Amino acid sequence: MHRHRWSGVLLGTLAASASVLGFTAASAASPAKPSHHVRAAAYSNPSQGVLAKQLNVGIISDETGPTTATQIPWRDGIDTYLRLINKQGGVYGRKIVVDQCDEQYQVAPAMVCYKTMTSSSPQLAIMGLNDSDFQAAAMPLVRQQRMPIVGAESTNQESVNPFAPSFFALECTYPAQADVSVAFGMGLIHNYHASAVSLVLGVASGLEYGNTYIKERVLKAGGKYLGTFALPPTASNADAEAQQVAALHPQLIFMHGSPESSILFLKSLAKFGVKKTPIIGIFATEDPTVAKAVPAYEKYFYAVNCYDGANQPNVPGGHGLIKAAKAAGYPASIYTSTNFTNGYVVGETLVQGLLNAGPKVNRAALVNGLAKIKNFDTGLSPTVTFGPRNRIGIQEVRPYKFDPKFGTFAGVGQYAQYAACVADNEYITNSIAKWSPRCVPSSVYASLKKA
Amino acid sequence: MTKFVQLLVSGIALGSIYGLVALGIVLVFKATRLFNFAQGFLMLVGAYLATTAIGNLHLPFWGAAAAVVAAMAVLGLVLYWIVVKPLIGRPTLVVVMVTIALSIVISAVLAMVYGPIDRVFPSPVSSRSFDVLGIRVALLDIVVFAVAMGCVVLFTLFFRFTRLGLEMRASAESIEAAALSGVNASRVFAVALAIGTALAALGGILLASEQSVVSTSLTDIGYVAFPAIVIGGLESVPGAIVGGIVVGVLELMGSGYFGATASNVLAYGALLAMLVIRPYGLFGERDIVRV
Repeated sequence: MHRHRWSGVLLGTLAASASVLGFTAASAASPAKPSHHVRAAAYSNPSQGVLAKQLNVGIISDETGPTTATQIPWRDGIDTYLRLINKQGGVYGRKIVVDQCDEQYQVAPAMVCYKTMTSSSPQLAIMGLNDSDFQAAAMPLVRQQRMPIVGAESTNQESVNPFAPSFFALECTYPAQADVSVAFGMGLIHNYHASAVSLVLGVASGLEYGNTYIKERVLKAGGKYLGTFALPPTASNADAEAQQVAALHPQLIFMHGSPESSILFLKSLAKFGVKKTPIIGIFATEDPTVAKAVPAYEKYFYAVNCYDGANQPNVPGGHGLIKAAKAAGYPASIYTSTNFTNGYVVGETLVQGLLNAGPKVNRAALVNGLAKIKNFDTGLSPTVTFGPRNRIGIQEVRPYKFDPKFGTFAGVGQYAQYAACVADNEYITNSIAKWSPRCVPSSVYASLKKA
Repeated sequence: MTKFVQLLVSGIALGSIYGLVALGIVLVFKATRLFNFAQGFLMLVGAYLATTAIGNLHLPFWGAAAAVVAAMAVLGLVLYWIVVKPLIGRPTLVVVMVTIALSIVISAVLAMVYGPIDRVFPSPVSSRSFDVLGIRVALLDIVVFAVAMGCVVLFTLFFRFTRLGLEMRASAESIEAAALSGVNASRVFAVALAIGTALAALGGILLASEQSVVSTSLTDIGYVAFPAIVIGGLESVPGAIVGGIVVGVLELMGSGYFGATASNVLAYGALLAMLVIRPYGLFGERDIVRV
């Protein structure tokens, strides 16, 4: 009997080791697919959202306010990936249960959501702080409580500088987008002294994108910055502003804003005869409805982003996302959005962090687990890399051009081709000393001509 | 000078849409003394139904517009029977609260049915523009202005020369006296709501054509109708359109000369000034109450 007991222990140990090794190998080769064979020890930490059979995580997003068009797809992307993981058995045998709270794109209700998730309904991690103003208001508490925040849909400079150990940014930053937008635009028109304007349309904040980041790069390149023009979210006509922009005859137009306001402004621009000027947008302007609504600009409209739409050509992770989204019941109008992709990658990153943290997870362990993520290939974005002193997980961006054949945007070149443009993250260094307007290789423009 | 004239032309076009929205509210008020706070949201319903008619049912644009306007008129009748009729005789505040609640319900239902993603609104007139003596004019601007003027003429004649129009005016003056004179108040109310809802749909379709996209932000224009109504006069059909045009011009002038945020200052500043100087509006009539 004694001999059987030892044999049993030896066999059990060998089996467990093989499982862990097999699982580790699988994780390294592909995006996270946690094995339900690896069971969590009988460990729980309810005050941090860790229960025996589930992990509680929170999503704070705009469900009923003015930014639902971007935030609901983002939330749905997270939901899709977490459902996929739960179907496979969860993480170390624990299902991931999401607690969702509507911030209404207002700071006060958003703070109530945050405080609830850190006290009466404790969560292991929070995905959200998408509104820049909410993010600014919540960060002192985040720093104090070391609450893991994963994948906010905006990244304030103050959230990463000074270093905040528990804030993990997955949204491409304004400086990175400006780096590539200005360099790409000037190269496109073969004029590194071009005149430019910035449009900030229908977003309550974001003026610094034009007034600071675009302006300083245009001036550094030797160009002329003609001004930043804003449209409030409630504007129903843009003729007055468009008339001013048209009178300036800019050679490049940089744009940031909501799809509705962008369409309004572009239509007015077209009305006043501004038709062949390249327009390079960021964030929500990368929307097929914007490109389709103003046919005059189809050939001249670009957007800079760090996420691919699932139905765009040459997106390795697209099929997997679409399959998961369909299984979750989401329509194409939602899952083809780059905001959906953004959310899906947030879900992937969270799960990767949980895997790295191990079965005895708590907030501190999750922070360490996320910090270990290096060159995580999602197939939908640049690779995600954090580090001991790096919390900006995605640094690279690239331009996308609207392709009428696909009815969506297609990446122009590869992310790596623009790496030289984003060598210096201004959020960290407060400098653009390393940026050059000639950082985009000529092969990128050659590929545009071929297309 | 060119800038001023350009802003004036753009403002008149924008204001014509405001005027149509205001006209829907005025017509209903003129007949029923009911102020419909849901008018902006009914506009949104019309715009979304038009995207369904064009995108899913593949109707041609003008056919879809006519069908949606007619369907919304029927919706107005349904709203009357379900929501308004049970409240006849109740205090005004109760009825007002019901229209506010209705707007919230409409918004939620639209979000459930159509989701959060904006919809492209294809319109045959949305992007053509041309030059008139150095001033850029969009074809849509002309269409909107023509429709607004047409509505002014149509409804002015309607209220003055038709029996139903006379009955509506009588009901608004005194529902009891009108009923004693043989006016079917219920029919008057129902028709007024049907017309108001149909006008909301028309405004929604034109606004969606202007913006080329249907999104929940279209409802914001419902709030701009309020200064238009105050400036024009709460019971005046031409006043609604003129008030809308005044607001549109002030907004564009504010944006053009002082910046985008100044547009609201001028528009609502005019509302305040009108309430102080001539509270019954440019075309309204002073109420004299004998004690």
